Amino acid sequence: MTEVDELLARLRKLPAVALESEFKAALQKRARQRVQRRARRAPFASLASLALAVTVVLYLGWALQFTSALYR
Amino acid sequence: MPETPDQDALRLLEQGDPRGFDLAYARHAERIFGFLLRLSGSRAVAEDLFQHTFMRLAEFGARLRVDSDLRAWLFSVARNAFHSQARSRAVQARATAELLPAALQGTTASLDSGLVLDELERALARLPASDRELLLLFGVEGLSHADVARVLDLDQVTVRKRVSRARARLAEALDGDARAVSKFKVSE
Repeated sequence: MTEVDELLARLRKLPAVALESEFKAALQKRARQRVQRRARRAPFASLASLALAVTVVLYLGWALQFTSALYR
Repeated sequence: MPETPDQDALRLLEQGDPRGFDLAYARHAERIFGFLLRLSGSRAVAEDLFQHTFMRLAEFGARLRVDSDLRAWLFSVARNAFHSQARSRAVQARATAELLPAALQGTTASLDSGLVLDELERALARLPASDRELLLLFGVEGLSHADVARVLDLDQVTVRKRVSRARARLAEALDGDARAVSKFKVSE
């Protein structure tokens, strides 16, 4: 084993670092709530996107019709 | 082909199931925290960045592809958070050798040789942040060159060169420490 490899092996042995259990649990609780909130919001977000797309298409159709009526 | 635990976690997150977060958190929390602690040299800063990283997972995990490399993604978010905080708050990017061993109190694994590892932590802490992050990702966390390249947004050839340079600097730092210790013993 070369010196460099030995160095890497020593680095690999550096231990994981413990988190304070209260801090860890509090963050987990907040994050779980965030995941659930996002999941509840998701269907509404896609409905809102669809409604917006339909509105834009309708508006563009009306604008086209209006413009062509001006030159008739 | 059976899914890996990380793929399971991402699939659950995609479905809005918080168990996906729990799974990812259980697998990666301590490694990410250790990385941030060694990178920043401060437990308070590491905790802030750690929160940011896992709240990003809660927020955006559902958008990640199931076959994404979750570990590399988490290290990438953590590393970017560190650099943006270092820039915006002028956090000292280079951990001081005095600060780090105190910050690392409470390590989970038993130290097989406390003195040797302590020397290594000190030498690592004295390196520039750019060398330290490479050695933490490649050496301590065991990411492949390809994964490190993804995390740092570099090509693999550059990563290989930089890792090699960083390893050489770490070896020099350790040699320097050893010389300092022997000189001290002689003068005693």
